[in-house]
Amino acid sequence: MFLLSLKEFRTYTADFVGRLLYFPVEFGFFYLLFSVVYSGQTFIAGFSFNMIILYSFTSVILMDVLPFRMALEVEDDVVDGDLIYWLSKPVDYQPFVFSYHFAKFLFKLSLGLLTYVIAASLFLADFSMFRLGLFTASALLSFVFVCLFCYIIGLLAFWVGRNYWLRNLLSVAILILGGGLIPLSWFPKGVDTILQILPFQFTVYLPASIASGATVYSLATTFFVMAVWIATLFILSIWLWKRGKDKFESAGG
Amino acid sequence: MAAKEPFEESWFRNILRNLKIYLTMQKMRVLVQSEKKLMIIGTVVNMVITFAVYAGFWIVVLSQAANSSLFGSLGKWGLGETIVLLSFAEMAFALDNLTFYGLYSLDSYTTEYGLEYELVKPIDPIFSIMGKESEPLEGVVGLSLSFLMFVGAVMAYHLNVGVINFLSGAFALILGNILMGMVTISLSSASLFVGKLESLNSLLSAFYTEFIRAPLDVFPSLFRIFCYVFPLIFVATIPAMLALGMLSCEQTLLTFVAEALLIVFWNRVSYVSWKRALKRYTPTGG
Repeated sequence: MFLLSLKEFRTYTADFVGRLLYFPVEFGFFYLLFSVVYSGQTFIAGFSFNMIILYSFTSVILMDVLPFRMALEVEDDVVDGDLIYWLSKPVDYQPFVFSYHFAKFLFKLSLGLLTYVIAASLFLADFSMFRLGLFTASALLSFVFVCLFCYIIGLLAFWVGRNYWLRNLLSVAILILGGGLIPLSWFPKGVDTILQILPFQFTVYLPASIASGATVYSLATTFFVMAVWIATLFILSIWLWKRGKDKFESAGG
Repeated sequence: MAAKEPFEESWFRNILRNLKIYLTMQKMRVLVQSEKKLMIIGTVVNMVITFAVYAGFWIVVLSQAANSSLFGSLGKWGLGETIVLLSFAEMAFALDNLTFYGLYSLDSYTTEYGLEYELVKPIDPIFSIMGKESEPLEGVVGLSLSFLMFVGAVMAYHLNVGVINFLSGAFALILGNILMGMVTISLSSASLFVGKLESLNSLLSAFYTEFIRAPLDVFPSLFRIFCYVFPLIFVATIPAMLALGMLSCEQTLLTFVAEALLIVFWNRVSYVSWKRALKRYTPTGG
């Protein structure tokens, strides 16, 4: 039994090491790229070199901890008909899915925050507990926003079936429109204004900007707009769920 | 000298027979996939949007890097050149879909299920898995679209691209694809020694999605050397540079010699690692 258990652990060791390597590889790309872009320049669109490195660092963390997989899981439940299993349980589907991902998110975020504190103390001159608290709050709101967005995309499977392209569209939108690759303030004037009206900025740009020490205009207004978007998406998700459930057949949506 | 077994094939005949079965499998995959019209539309939409996103990313990065003291090296990658690079990267993805894409899940066959089914077939297991898991239709659609993007960039930015230049770029692209295929086989074979390697495949895909879209020749020299040995630079950067005529005759020759040597090296590594891995395989899982 001992040897079997050891073999089972060994089976996933390399996989675990590979997972650990993913983060430095992803972050390393941005580090190399920005070191080329920043040579001879101190500030670009409100970001110093240290700030942009911290921005990339946190955006890689956020892209990893946010529950983008939820869209696929909800879609699977709808298309494969597994939803019937969850409907027979004495718990609503939405809270169940959210709480399942929230536990995973909290665990990953705590690890992320730990690495963030180390990175921030190295790269950020005015790192404070207040900034850490603000970053945590914005990351939590970002989680709720992404959850609702992914849930809605997953629910669309009731009408369109498998929607790989829609899921991919979301991840691509978050990469560029949400500031997953570069801060929105780097975009030309006019384009950045449009991007800051769209809700995608709440996913990565807002938390990563706060974490990197960049100036975020009127934080209270930003959080208020985010809350309005969350409320709207929540209402939409309930409406879609009610409509979709009526369409659902246990042999598959 | 040991006598040949009566059923033993020559190396060349073996490859030909495997390719023939592999192509038949690909034809069947195309037939199955062509029934999913929505998927094809989705592929096109996806590709166009992904292309636009990365083009947007590089437009912004290049505009912000204009004052960089390293802009001399970054500067040769103007917007038009970068879009050509992106179209070559998309061609590489499409080529990968057509060929080695299936090998990313090789570790599932070795650790979870199914390699024994592949071993009893009259086709080499590597070819069989490639044939079963590849996405030929997405590959063909992707290749056509990325070629259109390339032509569009050349016309819109009045780039000086000759037919010979393009052909040498396309040839380098195919060699780069073969090289990465060999690297994938070598890494996936390791699953029989160390177990599940799903995350390592994610790493490879991160390399693909992030690194090959970047002009790798502008990065620090140590990293560039890594990109030559672990042949990322041959996937899109070198083919795009050849197509754009950025390399002199001597550099082109040297590049192809280096690529040939790397193919010999990685071919040996992939062959040895796969053969050794197969010896360790038991049908109950690696």
